[in-house]
Amino acid sequence: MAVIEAIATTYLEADAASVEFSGIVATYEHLQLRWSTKADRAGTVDNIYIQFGTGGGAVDTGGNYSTHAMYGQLTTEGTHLRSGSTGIDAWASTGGTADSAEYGTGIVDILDYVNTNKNTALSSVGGMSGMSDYPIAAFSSGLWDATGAVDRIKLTAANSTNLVRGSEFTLYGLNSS
Amino acid sequence: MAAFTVIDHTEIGTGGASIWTEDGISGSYDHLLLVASIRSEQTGIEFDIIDMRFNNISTSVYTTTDLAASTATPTTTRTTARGDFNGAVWPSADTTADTFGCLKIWIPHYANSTNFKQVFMSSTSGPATTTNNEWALRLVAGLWAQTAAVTRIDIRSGYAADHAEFSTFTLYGVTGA
Repeated sequence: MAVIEAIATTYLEADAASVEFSGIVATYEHLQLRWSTKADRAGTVDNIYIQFGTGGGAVDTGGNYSTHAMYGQLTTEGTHLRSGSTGIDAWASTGGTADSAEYGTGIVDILDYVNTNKNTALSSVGGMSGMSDYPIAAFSSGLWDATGAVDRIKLTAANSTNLVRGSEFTLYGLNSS
Repeated sequence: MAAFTVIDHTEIGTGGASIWTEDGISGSYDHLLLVASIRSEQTGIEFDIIDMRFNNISTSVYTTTDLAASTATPTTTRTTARGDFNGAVWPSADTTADTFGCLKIWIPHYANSTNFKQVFMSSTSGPATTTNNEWALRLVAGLWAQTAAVTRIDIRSGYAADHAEFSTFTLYGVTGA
């Protein structure tokens, strides 16, 4: 058995409001998400909004999520902090006014996602650079204040209508034996 | 040959444990990666700080440089001539219940017997609050100024507290082609 296995990849052949991984099996120790994505907001950068579900139901849309991030953007460093929100922010996606060939990237580790003694916590690194204004590099944490085993993940662009054609998301499972 | 091999997986049991140790690490891999979902039992603080040593050596051969945030303004700190690696963080007993941190440590070319060893740590303590100094993010580069191959890793709390029950440590060996 390989330690790292690809669970699913979604490649957008057309613009879509969200990407969802459902029916995630409980056989891994950790999950990892990797993306290359672009959104359609009237700006050069967006962040990806992450929501989780458990028990075969829809994702939790209540105010049960927190985000802590530090970033460098253009020539400015800063932080982005939210709690009691309806999803976790993670970086980055390019926006609709970025060059058409520019896509942002992110890598998200979701540890012990089936352990019902723990809230679901993640760490994320990502960013986008290139020809556009407001390039960003970010490191962040995310918390879903719920102990249910994660079996569904929904990804949207936080400030856009759609993720655009050519965006790609892959979910990996990491074994511990 | 698989690129990733699980060397050890440990889940901390009832009552906690003061240390995670892996000894007798084979030199047959190119790199090591430790992934930990971790919480401390230390009271009176919101996050704990790592005490990591290689080969049970506690002389002044550890140096770290970190990029950190616990308030709205990221900071950087350098420490030298320490008896352990510090800098990385994880949640402690006074923060959001059931919340564990995400810790990843890369140790490239750990078995090289000519060069000093560099490590890179990413760590989060992300509770359900944005109050200053009750959350923490740390990216840490570290140098172990020793040429010996790394054969043992010890991870303790910087406050000498126990790792909480349900904390997990997974050590991977990573090979090239």
